[in-house]
Amino acid sequence: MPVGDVQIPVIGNDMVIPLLVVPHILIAAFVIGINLIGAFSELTGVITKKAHYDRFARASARFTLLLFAVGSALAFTFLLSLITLYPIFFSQLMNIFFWVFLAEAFMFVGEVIMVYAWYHSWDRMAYRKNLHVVFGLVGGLFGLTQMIFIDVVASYMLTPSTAQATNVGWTFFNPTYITLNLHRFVGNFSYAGFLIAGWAAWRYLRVTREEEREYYDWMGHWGIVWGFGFLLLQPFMGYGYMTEIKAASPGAFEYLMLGPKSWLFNLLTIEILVMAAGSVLYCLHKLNFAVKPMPRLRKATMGALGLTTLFGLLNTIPADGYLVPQIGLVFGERVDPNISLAARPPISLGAMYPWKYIGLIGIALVGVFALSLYLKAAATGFHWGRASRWSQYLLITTAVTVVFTMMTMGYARETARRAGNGKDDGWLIYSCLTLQEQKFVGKGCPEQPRETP
Amino acid sequence: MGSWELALLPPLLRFFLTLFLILIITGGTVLLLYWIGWGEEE
Repeated sequence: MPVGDVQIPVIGNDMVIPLLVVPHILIAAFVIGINLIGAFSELTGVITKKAHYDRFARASARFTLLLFAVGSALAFTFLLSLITLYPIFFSQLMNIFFWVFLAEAFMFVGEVIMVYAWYHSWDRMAYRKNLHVVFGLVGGLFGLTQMIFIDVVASYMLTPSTAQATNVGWTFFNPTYITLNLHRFVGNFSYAGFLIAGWAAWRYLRVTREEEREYYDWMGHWGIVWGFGFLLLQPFMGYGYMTEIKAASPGAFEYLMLGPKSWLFNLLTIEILVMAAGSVLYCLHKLNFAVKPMPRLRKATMGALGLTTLFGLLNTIPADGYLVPQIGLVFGERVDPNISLAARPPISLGAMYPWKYIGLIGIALVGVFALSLYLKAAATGFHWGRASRWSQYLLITTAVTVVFTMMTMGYARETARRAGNGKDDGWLIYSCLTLQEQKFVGKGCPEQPRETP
Repeated sequence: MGSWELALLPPLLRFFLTLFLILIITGGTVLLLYWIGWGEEE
C-alpha cells in the first residue's frame, strides 16, 4: 500500500518530476561548469597577468552565487515531489543509497561555503591570489563531486546492479556509472562554455563603449573555446555510455536508437551540426581579426568548415522514414529495432555502420584541427571589439542549441526507462521496479529487494 | 479520485505543456536574475 495516493491534475504525476528536474539540471550543470571555468580563468589571469581573465572569473563567481539558490530550491522541491508521488521508489533508493545522498548533501554545503568565500574575499585577497584561486577550484570540485555522487543514483536507475543493497561497492559501480560521469563531466564544460559565449554575444550587441566591446568580444571567444573544445570529446564519451547501456539494458538501447524514441538522436545530430558548424564558422570569422594575418590558416579553416558541415549532414540522415511516431510523422518502411550493425536499414546512408561512425569521428577530428588552428591564431592575438553582428548571432544560436541539447539528452536518458514494460508502463528502476504501480518484479533487482508491505 | 483523472490532458499535450513550463521557469529565472543584477559590475 503506498504511503500516499496523490494525483496531480492536468499534467499528471509523471510530468511533475521533469518539470522540476529539467530547470534544476539546466541551472545546476551551468553552476558546476561556470564555477570551474571561472576558477581556471582566474588562474589563467594570475599566470598571464591579463585583467579580463580576472574580471570574467569574478563575474562567474557572482553568477554561481545568484543561480545556486534557485538550483538548490528546485532540487529540494523535486525531492519533496519524489517522496510524495513515488514513495516506494524513494524508500528503495534510500535503502540502497542513504550514504550517497548524505555525502551529496555535504558536498552542497562545502560548495556553497567555498563559493561564498571565493566571491566575497576577492578584494581582500587581491595580494594572495594563489590561495584565492584555490577557493574557486575547491568550490568547483565540491560541485563536481556532488555530481559524481548523484550519478550513482542516476546510472543505477537505468542499469541497476543486481548486488544486494548492503553491497555498497557493487551498487555504486553499476554498468553505466563511470561512463555517465565522464559524459556529464565533459558536458558541463561544453554546456557552460556555449552559454558564456551566448551571454557575451548578447552583451556585446548591447554595449557601446570600446573597452566593453573588446571585453565581451574576448568573452565570446573564451566561451566558445571551452564549449566547442569539450563538445569535440562528447561523441566518444556518448558512444562509450551508449555501449554500456546496450550491454546492460538492451531494451532501453533499442528503444532509443531504432525504436519509438529514435527521433531524440536524430534531433541530437541536428543540434551537433548547428553547434559544430556554428563554432567553426565563428572561428573562421575571428581569423579576419588576427593581429598577424594568416591567409593559409584561414583557407584551411574554410576547408574544415566544409568538412564539418558535410560530416554533420551525414549524421543527420535517419535510418528510416519512421521519424516521430508519437505525432504521426512516419513514412515508408520501419527499421527492425534488432537490426545488426552490418545489415542495411531502409535508408542505407542512415546506417550506424559505417556512416554514423565516419560522421562522428570525422566531425571530432576536423573540429580538433579547426580549433588547433584557431588557438594558434589566438596565441598571436586578435584585434578585439571588431567582430560582426552576425558572428554574435551565431554564438547566441549555439547557446540556445546547447540548452535544447541538454534537454534532449536528459529526456533520452530518463525516457529510456519507458522501454520493456508494456505500452503504457515503464520502469522507475530498470527491470526492477515498475513505473505506474511501483511493483518490484525481481529480475533486475537486488537479490533481496525490500518491498513495502 | 475519478474527477482528478478526468482533469488530465492527453499525453502529447501534457508533454508540450511541460516543455513550455520548463522553458518559462528556466527562462524566467535567468531573466529575473539578469534584472536583479542590472547595472552592477559584470
